[in-house]
Amino acid sequence: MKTVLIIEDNLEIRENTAEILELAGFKVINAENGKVGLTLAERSKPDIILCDIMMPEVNGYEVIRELKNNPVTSSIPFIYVTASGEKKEVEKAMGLGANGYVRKPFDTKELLQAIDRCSGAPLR
Amino acid sequence: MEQRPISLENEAGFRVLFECATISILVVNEQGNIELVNPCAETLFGYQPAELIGTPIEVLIPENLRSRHAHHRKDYFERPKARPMGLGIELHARKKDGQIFPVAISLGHYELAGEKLAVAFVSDITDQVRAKKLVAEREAWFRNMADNSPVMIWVSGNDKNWTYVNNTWLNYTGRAIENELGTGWAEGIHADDLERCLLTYNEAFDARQTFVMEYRLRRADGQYRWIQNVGKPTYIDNVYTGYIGSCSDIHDQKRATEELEELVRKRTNELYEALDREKEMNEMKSRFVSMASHEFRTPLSIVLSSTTLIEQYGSPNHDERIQKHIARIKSSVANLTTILNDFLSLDKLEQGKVEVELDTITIPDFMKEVVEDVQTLKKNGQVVNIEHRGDNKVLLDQKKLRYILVNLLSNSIKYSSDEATINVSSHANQNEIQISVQDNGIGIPDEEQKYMYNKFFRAHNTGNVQGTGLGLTIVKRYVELMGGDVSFVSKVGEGTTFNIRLPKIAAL
Repeated sequence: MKTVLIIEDNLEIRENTAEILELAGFKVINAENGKVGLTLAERSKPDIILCDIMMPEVNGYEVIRELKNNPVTSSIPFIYVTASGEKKEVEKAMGLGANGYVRKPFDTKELLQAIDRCSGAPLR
Repeated sequence: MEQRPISLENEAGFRVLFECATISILVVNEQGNIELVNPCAETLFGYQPAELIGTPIEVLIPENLRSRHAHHRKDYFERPKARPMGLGIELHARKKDGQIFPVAISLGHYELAGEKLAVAFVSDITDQVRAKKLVAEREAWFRNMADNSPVMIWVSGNDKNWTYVNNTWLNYTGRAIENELGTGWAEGIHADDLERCLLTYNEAFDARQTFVMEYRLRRADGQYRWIQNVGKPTYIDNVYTGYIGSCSDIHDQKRATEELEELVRKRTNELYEALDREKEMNEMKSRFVSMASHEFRTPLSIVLSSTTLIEQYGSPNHDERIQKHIARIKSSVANLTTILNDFLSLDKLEQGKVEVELDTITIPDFMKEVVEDVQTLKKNGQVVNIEHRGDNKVLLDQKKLRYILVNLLSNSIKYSSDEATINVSSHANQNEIQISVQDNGIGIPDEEQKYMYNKFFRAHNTGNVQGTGLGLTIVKRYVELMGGDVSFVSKVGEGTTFNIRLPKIAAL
């Protein structure tokens, strides 16, 4: 069973996403902010990370920078889940080494396709 | 060598003078009879040679003056003296044919063998009198015209002093003519304008150039009013004689101009302010659209994901009513997301922030994907046919083309009935790709067709079908951004066909 780390400050979105992924057969770890997310990523070494961009204190951009700088986490596939409609924000995120992005609101199919795409082969 | 004095001592000398003189000469004795008359006089008065000899001088005088002349003649012989005749009065003479004409006469006298003789030198001054009369008439004409002119007129000599102002000027200033002549005219100039005016006036005079000056002049009622004074040098027979000028009261006109300029200034400022406000509003709108789009996405995400979960947790029996409402929530979230995206896209288009990004597209596959995208929108029994001819691969902006086709297809679906067939056909040649989307839907009313690409416009026959009126606006802008064009043919009750033509960037 593959493990997904969700870094998302909004409780409802975090829980719903987790439930959807669990029903799809993933093991899910939740982080309510960027700081916790970085700690859990290093400790649990998930198979994939889903991360929001706009979060207080440590935002999504800072999270990916830290992850890529750390040899333990640098190779974990990383997907942004963003509420932003701004193309330049998405481009910035992708430029920092993300493997994909999903725009809110997303349906289950979109989310699972994005996960499949960036991990090369189905993870489930 | 001794110089010989030149003299006319003999009669021959005098005879030459007498015969050849171009002035008329008559010699009259004390009885008033003509003793001698030269050829010039005979010609002037119209007589034959020697015809006048022995006749009374009075034949050459107009009839009504003859008796008076006889008296004057007697007086002259009593006190003969070389002098002009009739000083200060107009003299007239009479020709043989009775014609009266003006003359100037000088008198002289001598004695010969004890007889007193008077000599009259007569000049015809008809031309001079006529010229003088003409000048007088001209002057009277000028004064009459000047005094009746609505503009103020002045004349100066070559010493800069004014020699004439017309009645209009005097009425305007309310002063007597003697106060205005010379340099008096400058007394009415406003103190603040005086120095500048005199400088202009003197410099123009010294250079003999035309001048125009505007200054405030005191009117009879005490008010200082703006006038415009234009002066021009005058010449008579190429000799500089001074200046002639005219003034008009431009006070009201000047004030109106100033008021107009002030109004233009004010309006311009207002316009700039309005433009600034407009710019500010646009920026605010952009910020709002961006913020709203972002902030709406979070709750929408929750609604959608919760709905998905309800669906999955639902009883294995799959209550149809629950399924129906779940489908409705999902479709509403999708609608709302489309609206948000449209608002955002339009705002970006209006800000000029949208660029074309080229991708290689395999048309048949791409068309299938697009039809797949609108699958959930289709009504009962609706069929979408796809047909493609020509090259399969093209280089185009995939996202924008997808938006365009999804929009046109979803319009066809929305405005067609159940069981309707919608045809999408595409044709790619060397230069361009043409795509048409044809339906047999409700059609667009003729009178509203011209508004179809306007923002927020929706035809009146759309009824309660949902839409923002932004889709076709964005379609048109996207097509144009890619260098193509979009058109449609539509008839109410029969259907609509949209045609899109996009130039191929490069053949693949």
